[in-house]
Amino acid sequence: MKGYYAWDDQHLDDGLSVEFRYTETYKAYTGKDLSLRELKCLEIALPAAASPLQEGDLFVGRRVFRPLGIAPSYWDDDADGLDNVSFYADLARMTRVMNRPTQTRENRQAIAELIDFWKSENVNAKVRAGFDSVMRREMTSDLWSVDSGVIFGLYRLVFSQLDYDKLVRLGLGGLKKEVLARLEDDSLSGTQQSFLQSLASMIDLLLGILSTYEGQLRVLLKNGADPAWIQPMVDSLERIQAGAPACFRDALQLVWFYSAMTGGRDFGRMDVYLGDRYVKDLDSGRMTEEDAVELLLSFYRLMKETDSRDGRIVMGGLGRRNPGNADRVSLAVMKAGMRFRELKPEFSLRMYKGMSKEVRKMAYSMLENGMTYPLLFNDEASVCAVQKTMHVSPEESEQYGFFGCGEYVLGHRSIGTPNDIINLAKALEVTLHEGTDPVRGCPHGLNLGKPGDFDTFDKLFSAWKKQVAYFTQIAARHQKLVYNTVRENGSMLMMSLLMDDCIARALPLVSGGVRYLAGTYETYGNTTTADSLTAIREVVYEKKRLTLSELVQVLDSDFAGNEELRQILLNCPKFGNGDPVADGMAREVNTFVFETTASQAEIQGLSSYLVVMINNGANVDLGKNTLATADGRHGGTYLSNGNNPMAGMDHSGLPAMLRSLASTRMDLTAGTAQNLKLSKNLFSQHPDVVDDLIDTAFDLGILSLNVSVVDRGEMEDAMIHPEMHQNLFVRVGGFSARFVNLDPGTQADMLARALY
Amino acid sequence: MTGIITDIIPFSVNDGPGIRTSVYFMGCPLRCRWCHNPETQYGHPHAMVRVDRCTHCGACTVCSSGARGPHGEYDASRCTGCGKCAAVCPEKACWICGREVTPDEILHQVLPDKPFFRRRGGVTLSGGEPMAQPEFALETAKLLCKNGIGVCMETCGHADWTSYEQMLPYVQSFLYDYKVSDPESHRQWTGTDNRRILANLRNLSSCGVDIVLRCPLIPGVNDTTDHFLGIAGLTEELQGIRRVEILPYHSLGNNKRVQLGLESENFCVPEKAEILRWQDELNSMCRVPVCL
Repeated sequence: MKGYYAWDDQHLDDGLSVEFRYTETYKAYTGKDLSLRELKCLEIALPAAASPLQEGDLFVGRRVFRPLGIAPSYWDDDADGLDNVSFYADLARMTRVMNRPTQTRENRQAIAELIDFWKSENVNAKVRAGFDSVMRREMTSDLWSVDSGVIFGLYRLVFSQLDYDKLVRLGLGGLKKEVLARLEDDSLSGTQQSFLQSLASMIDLLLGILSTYEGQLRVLLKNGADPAWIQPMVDSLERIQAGAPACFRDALQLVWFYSAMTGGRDFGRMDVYLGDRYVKDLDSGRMTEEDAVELLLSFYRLMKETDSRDGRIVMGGLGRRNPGNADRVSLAVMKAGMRFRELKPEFSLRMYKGMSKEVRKMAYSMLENGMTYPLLFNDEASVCAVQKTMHVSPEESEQYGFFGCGEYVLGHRSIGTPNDIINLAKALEVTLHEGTDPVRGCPHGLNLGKPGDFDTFDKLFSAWKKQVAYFTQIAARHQKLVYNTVRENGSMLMMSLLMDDCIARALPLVSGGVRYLAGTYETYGNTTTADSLTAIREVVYEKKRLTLSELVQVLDSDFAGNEELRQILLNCPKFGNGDPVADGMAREVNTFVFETTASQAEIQGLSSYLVVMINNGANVDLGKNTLATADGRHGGTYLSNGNNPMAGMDHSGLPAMLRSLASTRMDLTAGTAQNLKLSKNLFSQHPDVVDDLIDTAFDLGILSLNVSVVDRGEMEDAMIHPEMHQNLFVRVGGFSARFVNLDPGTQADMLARALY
Repeated sequence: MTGIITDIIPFSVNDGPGIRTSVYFMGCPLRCRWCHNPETQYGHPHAMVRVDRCTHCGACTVCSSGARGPHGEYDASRCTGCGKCAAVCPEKACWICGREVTPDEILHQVLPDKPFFRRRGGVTLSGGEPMAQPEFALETAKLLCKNGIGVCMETCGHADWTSYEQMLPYVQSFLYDYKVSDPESHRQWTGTDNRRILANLRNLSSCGVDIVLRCPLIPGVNDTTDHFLGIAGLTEELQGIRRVEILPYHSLGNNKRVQLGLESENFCVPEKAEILRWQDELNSMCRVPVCL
């Protein structure tokens, strides 16, 4: 929709009337029951966030994001790019409104007071206020894409996959009945009763918003809008207010509406919850496949225009109650995706032995056409890995989903939001600088001695491990602190309604409601670190070409006058070539990080705390503040990406590269990104080879593959003539992007990666 | 036993079915002027020279074989592959192409990739000409088969029949070059006529092995109706031929020719449309599919 932007300041009036009412309510209910306060705030925030239908929309529920509200994560990618959790406050947007030239002095003063209030009252700020002295020392900044540091905190409850299957089966009315039935339990505490009552009232609020939408549509009809466009929506809204969705359209409408109101971004096993209604409508002749594709296209458009991140749709896999129907709708879901040809939704396919050949073929066809989706998951191995790492039954692990860059979560049973990131190469850097960040010139991390003190490689390696363990326990504490602060400030009602076992336990999401309260930890520069350690071991300790102190000086000077040494370092064994030395080091580095991280779960009282070795472009940003590394990488350039070789360092062929990737203990993590850049020619001329390649990669134990089908010449030309290549999609790591929109550093990273 | 190879290339997808590893044997009895691997024509390791890096410093005249001249001149046929020039070249403009390996060493390098071969793939013996080192090719193929790895062999067809005959139990498919139909023209462009090549092809077919007829098409040399009729006739006559693959001329071999001290060749690189037209024409004439 031209001109529509969910975060646009044009949605905001000069007086910020909604924000003032919201704040008054917030203040009035502070000190009372948290669920009730949240409900009362939602009663102001949600109707104001529900934006009218626009030309071409087939569903109501356009969402605008106002500067105050409650969300799993409020994230404005035009601002600082940081997530804001629970009760958020976008102070920058409110400041812009305050400073509008048209603004009155009274308004300015009032808004200034509003900003002042929320400056310390938003949950992000409250988390930071809860930092202990160690956190304050080591996590001085949240601006991970700009500032230098080993770890950074994130503030969010992202990527939880709500139980849309239940929503579609029961409808809002059915959910309310379930909540009310639970309320009949006499043993509930007052807080529990208030929580359930708030859930029931929230459902009424949602039904009220749907009713308002219906009224708006009837006015449109009265004013001459095309009945063929509007009437089906009116009928659908009537039905979903009265009961459970009766058809495919109803299901999509309700899911979209609920997701938009929640501010959620992931759609879980869409094939399961849409499959039955799709097949019923199709087989009864009430709907054609083309009708379904049109509806899906409108759904995708809303997704794209309402949010700029995520939008994961999961298809396929074990543990579906309706595999036949689910596969049939998957074909329509992908067909619409091919036609939509945008970065949304993020399609993902769980591939298993005996899966539908048609679904597999359609997925490959999407990839061949340069869509970069779907992300391919090795289902059987993923089920086993999830079972082991998340300590759940096989039945539950079959319900795994994934989010963001492919991190595992248990569909509507767990929260696994990654709320901290670590730069492992930077951890080595501060270890080599006596517990100082040489970029900022201030103490950071543990001082474990001078380089000269590490007279054996084992001593150096142990010191790095100690450093990583130190930062990891801080990160785990931060993760828990985010949960605690969210719990102390609200109930996350919208999420709680559709997450197991919040209703059954009559407890809000992070107050004991969700079955598995887990956490994840994003690690970056894994391969850069491993390759650097391999090179240090060989060059400093085995061949004794120079001392470690001398090497640190060379790295600090970014190899100035030492190109010969850089070449020697570059020629040391590198991960990605099937080399046992390099792969062995990477495995040891990664396994240590995985196990150290996992050990924090029990300490922090989380059901699991796991590494996600993924990528969101942070390898480029974190690289900017990382000095030269001993793998031969120049300072300031990108770090390695996910579980992949350093770009350009794999030169022993694709099988060797995949063997290296498979040597990583992916089964100890909550997800790792494996990138595969294949040529268009391979896909079009050798489909059998593609089959063999993916099957073998999965047989070797690789859990997922991010496949990009690209042409190097096209990428090079796109750097010169970006206007000609707007539709060139590439897979950066866990996410896809338009190549021309990537920053030059990421474009260079993409180009340097081997194309097979 | 040892043999001489130039390289082992994993993930070769254009030399036989599935995912393959290609082993490039050194030595070839033909001298096709369009050859894209001219460095494999010699039967022994030898130097390659990047002339754009060469400063004519003369350091490489350390060579006593007479292969190197004082101003960067190079005659690969006289090179013994001693490696002295590569060792002394300050610009790193020289390197040695070719190395001696045992079948075991080949197996050792190939084996880790075996899972990728699955049912279709395996190893392709290529070159050069594997049959220029028949005993080494045989031992290598035997060893690979023994380890459950399927073998294809790419060949120009110009070798003793007995060499082919002994390979039969170990080769799943022959990628058999067919270059020029007219014997005299064949001699003009490759240095030898095609009678032996055709005889071996007929023998192989009569043994019931799978054959892919690989036809390099060089504008101005063999893009003629007569040659196309020759290809079509063979597919009619020989039931062993399962399909025809067109190998359109490309000029990548020219750079290597220069590195070998040879003149570059000036064949015309065909346009995509021309290649598709060849494919259509051949498809209309041949009993078997014609692929690119």
